Amino acid sequence: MKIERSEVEKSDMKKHLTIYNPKTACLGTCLAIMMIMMSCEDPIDVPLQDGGVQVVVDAWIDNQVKDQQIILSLSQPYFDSSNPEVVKDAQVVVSRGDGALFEFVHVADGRYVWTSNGESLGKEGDVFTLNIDYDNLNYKASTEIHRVPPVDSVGVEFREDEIFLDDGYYTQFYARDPMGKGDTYWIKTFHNGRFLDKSQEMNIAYDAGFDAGSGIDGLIFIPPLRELTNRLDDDLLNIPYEIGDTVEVELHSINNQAFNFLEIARDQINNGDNGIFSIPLANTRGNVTSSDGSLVLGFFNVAGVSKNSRVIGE
Amino acid sequence: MRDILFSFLLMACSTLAFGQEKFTVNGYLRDGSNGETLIGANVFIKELSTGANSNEYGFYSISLPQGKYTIEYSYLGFETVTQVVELDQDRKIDMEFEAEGIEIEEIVITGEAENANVSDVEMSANKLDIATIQKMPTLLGEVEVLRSIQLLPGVSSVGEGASGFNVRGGSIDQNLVLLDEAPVYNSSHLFGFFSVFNPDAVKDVKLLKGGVPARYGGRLSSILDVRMKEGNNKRFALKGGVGAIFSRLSVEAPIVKDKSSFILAGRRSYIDVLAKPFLQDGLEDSKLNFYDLTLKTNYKFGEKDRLFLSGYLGRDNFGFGDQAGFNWGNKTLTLRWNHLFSEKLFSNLTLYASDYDYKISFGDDSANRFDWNAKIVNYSAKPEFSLFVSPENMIRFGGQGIIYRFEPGNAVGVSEGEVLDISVDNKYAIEGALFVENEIDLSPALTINYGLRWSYFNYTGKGLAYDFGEPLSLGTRKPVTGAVDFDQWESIKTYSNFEPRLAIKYQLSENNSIKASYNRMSQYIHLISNTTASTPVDIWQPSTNNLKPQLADQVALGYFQNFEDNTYELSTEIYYKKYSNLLDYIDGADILLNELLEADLLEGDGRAYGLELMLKKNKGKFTGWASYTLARSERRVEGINNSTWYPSRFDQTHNLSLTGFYEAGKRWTFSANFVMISGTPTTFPTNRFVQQGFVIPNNSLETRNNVRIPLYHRLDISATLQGKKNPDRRYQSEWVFSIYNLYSKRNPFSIFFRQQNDAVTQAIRLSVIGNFVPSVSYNFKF
Repeated sequence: MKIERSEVEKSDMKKHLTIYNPKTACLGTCLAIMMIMMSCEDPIDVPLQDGGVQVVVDAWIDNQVKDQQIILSLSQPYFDSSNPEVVKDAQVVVSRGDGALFEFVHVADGRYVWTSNGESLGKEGDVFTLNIDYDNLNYKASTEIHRVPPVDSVGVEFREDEIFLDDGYYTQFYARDPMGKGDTYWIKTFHNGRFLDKSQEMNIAYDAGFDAGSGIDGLIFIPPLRELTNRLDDDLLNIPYEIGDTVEVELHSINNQAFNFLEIARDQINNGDNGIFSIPLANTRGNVTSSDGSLVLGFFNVAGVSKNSRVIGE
Repeated sequence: MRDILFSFLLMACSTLAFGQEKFTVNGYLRDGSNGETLIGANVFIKELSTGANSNEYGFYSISLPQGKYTIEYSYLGFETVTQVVELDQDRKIDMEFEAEGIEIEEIVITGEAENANVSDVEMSANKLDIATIQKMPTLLGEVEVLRSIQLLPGVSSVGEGASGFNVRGGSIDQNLVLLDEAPVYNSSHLFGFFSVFNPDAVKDVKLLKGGVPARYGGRLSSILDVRMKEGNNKRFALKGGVGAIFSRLSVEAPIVKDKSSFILAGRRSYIDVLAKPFLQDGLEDSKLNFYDLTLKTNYKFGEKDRLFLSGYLGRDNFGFGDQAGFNWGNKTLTLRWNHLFSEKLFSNLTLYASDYDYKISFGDDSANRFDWNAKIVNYSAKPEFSLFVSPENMIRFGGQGIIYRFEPGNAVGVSEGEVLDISVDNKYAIEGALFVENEIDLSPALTINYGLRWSYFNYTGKGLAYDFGEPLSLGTRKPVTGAVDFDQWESIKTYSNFEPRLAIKYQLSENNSIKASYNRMSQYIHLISNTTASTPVDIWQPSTNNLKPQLADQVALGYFQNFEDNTYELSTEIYYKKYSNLLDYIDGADILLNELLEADLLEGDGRAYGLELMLKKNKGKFTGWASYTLARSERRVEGINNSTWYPSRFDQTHNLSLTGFYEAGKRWTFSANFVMISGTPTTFPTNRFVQQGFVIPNNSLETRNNVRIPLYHRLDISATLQGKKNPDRRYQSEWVFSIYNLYSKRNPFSIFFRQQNDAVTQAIRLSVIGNFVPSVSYNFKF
């Protein structure tokens, strides 16, 4: 697909200022101004409240025909930057609405794997329940595979050098959200098989737009969502692709609660860049409950997946 | 309620019925040098030991029994004028004050009667004369109205560079900021570093924190009443200045001598002009400027009528190259008509239009752009009447009507000519109010001001009114359950409130008094902002079928004492405020371009209480004040902080400020500010956990505002050098040298938590100004 130069230019400008969402465009601008002023930042010690330790369930699995993994770990004090402790001796089972059972076996470091053997967990409309038995407690969550539209294509365009943009290849994907409000997605891009895993690269969509409040439905995913497919460098500027690179875009259907979880997670992780306009702390709200009512962190979602890819220069 | 109103009117009218024949002396009080009317000048009848103050328009009126009286006109900093009047008919006496010879260089801290602090029924009020504000040390030498009031007790801000101010623990949108009676919705330039008020055009600033009379309403926390100069009606005058940020110029002159005059004042920043040579690579067209323009003119039609027209236009512009731009600003236009119906009945009709908007745009051609703007526009009519029944009794009554149009976000993206509109629907509302207020001296010692305000709000179409169900759990987004379409001006939801007001003064002696007050305030429009400092893109939102008006009740008690012939003033106050329906936000609230914003809003209760002390020295070579506030401001919202009380974002336990001015000889004035403030609270996570490789913060105790920012303290100094005085020369000038943050304290604006790319989580102190900031500015007048 041919993309006009000016469109990419525009979207890229937007991308630079917004990082991921034009709603925060102003914040980007404000920050630039603040830097001109005399502000300075330095790390300090802050005494924290003791929040205890919680079981963390990291169960974002999908219906692709490949091995699926669930990770169990424990939360740690906020300023503890070591690797978290993991949960090794739990029983992890996912059951489907029709009674099929999928056992996840501990392989190492808290990772529990279900081996696909050429099978998928299910299809659109299937419901699933996660059951974890650990330390005499039972942890439970349920979800459903939601619909996902196909990724029609991944487009590529060569761009000349300009402000905030190096010359090179830039991509975007095309997919149309089905009519009917409330479809939520996690758009995952892989560069030569490596997931774009910066928090600022996290790309989620509510219908074809940013969130429920934008009122967009049934459209081709709007820019800049469809353009957030290039890597960002440490200054959050786009890195162009090179000839021969493979760009793969996966569209994962996630439930609305999962969307809220990721939206809050992303905004919180990136909040340190907001300076005097930082937003208040907000907790993600998971969907896993424990048999004794204690707090469990993390999420269980089974995504439907569609994907497409492009090799630059072909 | 009707009974209360009736007995109230009866009480007010009963004092009208005294038998003896009375005559009225009235007129306007002005500064003889430039014709500016004087607000709050004192008129004292010696024989009766009674008197009155001139109102916001410099008008006074006193009715007395027939007789011979000695009337003393006084205004601090001016020669007191005594006039003997044989009152056998109504008399009109306009008075022009001449500046006191030697006192001219002295700083006027208040213009009112010397013991007004003690003798006025008003409490929780502070007045700052522009001459005082101009002498304070400032950031980059820019004279600042909003930063000056933060040195008063009970007033604070969340930090340097934060826009607006917080009064007695309230949020910034709870202050009604009036510029010549028109509300200003965003009072800041450059986020919050400078205020929109041009000091050259400001005459008088008054802040009411409590005991708010019935004629004011619409906000919970305070009224900041900024009055502009009318313009010199004696002669042409030019004023200007060159500072680090702004250059200023103002022109004032009579149009028709003693009948009509104008003032036009402008300021513009010039960082962009200086930076221009250094911008290249497509950034040549970058914009970085802010400016404001203030115009006021007046015309006197005979003895009974006077018209004022004032306007304000201010804008901040930022742009990167020619592709991205961001600008915002206020516009206000006020027309006022003063009319004297009789010697005793003064009236003012204000018509205003006020507008705040911002625009953000990207893209370089019409086929590929993203344009986003938002606005609040309102039009209002406000008639007010003052009936000067007797020196002991004054009645005010009137009303107000406001029409609002909210444009919460018009956002249109164009991609290769394909238009994508993600705008949020406009909202409309009508606000109204009626009030009556009576200030009466029940005895020489006891004065009360009681009144009642009835306010009304109608949230109207056109547009969709949404219904929301219960959220999945407390403190989370509410689901939409329905939407109803309404026609233009069709009522969706109405609210009304009776707001009783009462202020009592009991004078123990000439030098001390006790005062008490109660007021109920309601607020129907709200600023939607959940960031640490409010941003220019925060939008205003009306009360709706889902969002109730905010209410506050406040009681305050004070003791006031003056010493040594009113050289020292001591004010002591305690207050308690109770709020209901305060606005809060769900975790992860999406407040911009969100058609379903109401689903993300929460309502809660609040309480605030505190002690405020202020000691002022008004006379002598050394003047100044010390102010100390001990306070608490708390909130309780279902779904936040486990539904228990928590300190609000504006909670500051201690707030101490010292401000001093010293006259050293004829030409030098030195001044200094020192502030020390307890840190405001902020929310930190307790834990972190990993999900799909991302490290996510979590407050597992669900506590809000659980960490305090460290103590803030700062010293600023300045020196003003007046040019040599030459009576034959009209040109006068001064140099102002100042150093802000003298000992380079790296004060935290906020502390926040951040993670590096390698998943290291840490706490960061953000200092907006981490060094001392010297500056020089030059001011002149002609």
